Amino acid sequence: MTDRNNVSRRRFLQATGGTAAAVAIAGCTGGNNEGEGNGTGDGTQETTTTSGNESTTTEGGDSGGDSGGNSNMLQLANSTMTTLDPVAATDTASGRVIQQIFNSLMNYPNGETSVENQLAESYETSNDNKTYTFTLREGVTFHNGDELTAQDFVYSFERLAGSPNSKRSYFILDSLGVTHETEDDGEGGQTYSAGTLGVEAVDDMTIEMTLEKAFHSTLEMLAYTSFAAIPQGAVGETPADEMGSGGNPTQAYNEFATSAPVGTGPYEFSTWEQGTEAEVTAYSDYYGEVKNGGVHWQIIEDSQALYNYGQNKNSDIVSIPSSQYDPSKISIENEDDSGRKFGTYGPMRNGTTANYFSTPLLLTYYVGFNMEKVEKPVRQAFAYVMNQQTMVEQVFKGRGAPAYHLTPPPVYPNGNYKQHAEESYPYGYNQSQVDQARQVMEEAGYGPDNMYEVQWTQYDSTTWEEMAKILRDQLQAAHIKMNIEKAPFSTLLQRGGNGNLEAYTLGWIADWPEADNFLQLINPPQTDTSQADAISYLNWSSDNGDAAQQATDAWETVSNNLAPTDSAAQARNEAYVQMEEANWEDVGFLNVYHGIGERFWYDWLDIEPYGGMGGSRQMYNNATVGDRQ
Amino acid sequence: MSRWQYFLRRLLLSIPVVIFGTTITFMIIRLGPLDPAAAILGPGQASGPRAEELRRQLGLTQPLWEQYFDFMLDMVTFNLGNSWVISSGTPAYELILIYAPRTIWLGFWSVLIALFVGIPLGFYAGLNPNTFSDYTASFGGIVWRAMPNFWLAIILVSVLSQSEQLIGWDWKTWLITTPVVTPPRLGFMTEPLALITNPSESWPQLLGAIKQIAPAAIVLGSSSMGNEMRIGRTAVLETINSNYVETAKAKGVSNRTLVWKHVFRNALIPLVPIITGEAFLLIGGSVLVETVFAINGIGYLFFQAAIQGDLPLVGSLMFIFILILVGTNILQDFLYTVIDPRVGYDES
Repeated sequence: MTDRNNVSRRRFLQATGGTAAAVAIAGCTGGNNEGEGNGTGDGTQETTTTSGNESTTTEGGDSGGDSGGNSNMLQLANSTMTTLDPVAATDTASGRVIQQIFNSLMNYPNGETSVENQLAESYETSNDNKTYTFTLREGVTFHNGDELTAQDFVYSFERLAGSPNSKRSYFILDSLGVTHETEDDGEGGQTYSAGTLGVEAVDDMTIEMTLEKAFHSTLEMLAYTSFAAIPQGAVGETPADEMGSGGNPTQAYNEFATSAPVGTGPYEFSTWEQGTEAEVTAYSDYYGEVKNGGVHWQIIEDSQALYNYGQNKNSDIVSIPSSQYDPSKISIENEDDSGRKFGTYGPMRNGTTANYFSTPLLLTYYVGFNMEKVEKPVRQAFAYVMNQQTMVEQVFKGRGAPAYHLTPPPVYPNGNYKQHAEESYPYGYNQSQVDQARQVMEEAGYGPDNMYEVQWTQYDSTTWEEMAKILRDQLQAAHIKMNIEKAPFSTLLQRGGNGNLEAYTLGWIADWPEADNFLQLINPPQTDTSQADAISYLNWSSDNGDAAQQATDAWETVSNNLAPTDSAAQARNEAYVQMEEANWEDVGFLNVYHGIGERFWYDWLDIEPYGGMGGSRQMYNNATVGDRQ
Repeated sequence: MSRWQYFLRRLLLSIPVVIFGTTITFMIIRLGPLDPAAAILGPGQASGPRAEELRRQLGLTQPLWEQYFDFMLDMVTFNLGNSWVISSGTPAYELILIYAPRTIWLGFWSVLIALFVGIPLGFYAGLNPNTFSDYTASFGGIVWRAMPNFWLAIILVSVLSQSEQLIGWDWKTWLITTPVVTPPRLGFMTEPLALITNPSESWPQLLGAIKQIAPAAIVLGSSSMGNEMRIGRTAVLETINSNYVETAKAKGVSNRTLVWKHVFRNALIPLVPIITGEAFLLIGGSVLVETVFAINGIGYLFFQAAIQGDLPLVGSLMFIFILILVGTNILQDFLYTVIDPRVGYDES
């Protein structure tokens, strides 16, 4: 938050048929392969992992048959997990299991976007909002029997910042901006200097954390499992001890990460057989309630296999891949304020009707324009012809939410997403306005004999390709000739950074649940590709957009009001809307759709719906499993 | 040159083949577009100081020739290294030990089905040429051969999952309850003695494991089954019409001795390379079938490692595959030298 030019915080999403994102694209979710994964803030890795096609899915599971069938256990499915070390996990599959075993100071209850206390009993902030003092919940024990103390958190946070195994140190050092010192790494760079983190144990039950700058989403960041408590010294006296000779992790570390993780969560680790299954069982000394015996995950990567697994009632939650998904089988019974829809899906292949719900996730896919190269009338013509609603229906069978703002609905200022879009979207809300597109192009001097040529560059994704073809045909009528080009993801980013793209496709997933995490992408000075730290490739300036100044000013307002106070939030919210509107005017990003999370589950499972942070952040201790039929 | 000299020469020649194959592997994984730093950190963070630091830690910034020699030395000394991405820090050995048994179990049964169904059928057809049963067997062989693995697998999984609705017979609960997809439990493999000491528990487990692997093994074995049938038939026909069989018949060798002693052994010769060639089923050929049946075996591990840029794991697995392939080729030559005395004699 502090320094927004930090490249390390980028989160581009690749929506290919093969990746998480894609899944999201496909609207999927719920889970398994990254399914809902998309919802997770820390899920960058999802984009690279896994399986093929736009599956979708869910946490399926194994009920039974051979696994002994303790009917108290949740039977779910997961995709390939990599580690159980909270600071090393970057994928949702691991995150899903880690969330059950470890607790943090704060938590996203059921994966919703607002946080509540978890291991923190209470907290206080200093007047300048830079110092947070947390009082820990009494009587919390680790699975090894030790009592939780403030020193455990100091150790855990130090690991997050300085462990050679940590892949999320920027969460605490940059995003949250906890005070620390750096030292030369001997190669001309700067690294974190061990033991200098601004986190202290005031007494056994009190932690004090100092930030470099006030930050509105401090508590939200602390809810990530990367910030989870592990027993002091669990993997070595100091984080540096975790690496043995030859750059390989020590035996103790490997044990912790694969076969003996210890946390304070509702479930104790039981087994994890690589590529096969993982299981956790209820922790008897948990401070809260655990209403089931445990959770078993079968690891299944293939969407079709997963589908069969669910249809055979081996899992309580089933997965429906896009190929098997029939939108007409959904009947929605009600919808809540945050856009979650509840109903049923069925009858499925096995004759049963499953419960259904969907929720928008903190995930936006967009078409970006290099404004230096693509003229404003052309960008507006794109916006006119784009009908987000039909795109979502045609390309994703409706498994996505049309996007008008860059900020996803769950975190849109004042929950005003839909109303603002309906009333003010300038390019036709759920409409394809080819006439207006032609008109704006003709006013700019283009015609049938004088077509404008534009290059569309996308990463390898069948869904983007389908959309591109629809757009290309429509734009033909507006005197625009669009060439579709595909590039590997890394090439796309590299060319973007060099300013060599015209129209390109990308997505963004939240680091923390507030609009500024998204809107930093359209802060004009940060879109200048001649700078090394550009985070999007718009080259937005007053030369090529009338609203560039408005966006710059609004971002200035945001930067000056980062404190977690109501008045600052008020100021930020107004500025967010200003930025969205500036983007509408100049069409830097043409927002296309938001990922949604879906879940299909059998009647015998009673489970709360999850929120915008995604199902992988949901803890299962309140779910109950009845008799399987 | 004696045939043992010939065999020895083949053995020595395999060394440069292994080195060449391993070198190509190195080139593909290190010179290709795989970026393990990006895979570990996530694609958005593939640049910047963190990624550079990680590349340095992983040794990717050293000169390529140095990396090459390190890699070759590690492989030759069987120092297979640790996984970087899939299961960060876990030795490749351990991962192979976890994933390989299922693939071997699957490969074992699919080769067995091919051998014990394909070859007898082929021989039967060859001994009774141009009869109705020959046509039935031959046609069956062509059909099995023609059905693509991935298609057959998907159909089979679907049908077995819904067998009760479709044909009124429930596969899942037949004999012993097993799920249609997911890997079989192979616990009995580690304690084979339990089959004797604790039969009530271990035999059902063995039965379950066989039942569970059967559909996948049939799919995987189907094409080679067809192959072996066709080639077996041709080989028998060819032998049965050769002069020495005629001679044997003329001097009154009984039909039984004729078939077993003169026809069978000679007809086996063209089948040897086909059977050893099936070793590839244990590796690449099983990836698709493993995926559809959610049997996460070695093929799955290799595929995951490849798409996630887990360089040491990909390299190690590839090296092992090369060794297996070269090994089976040597085995094939060995069988040749044993079965066919003509091999190795220099004609010139």
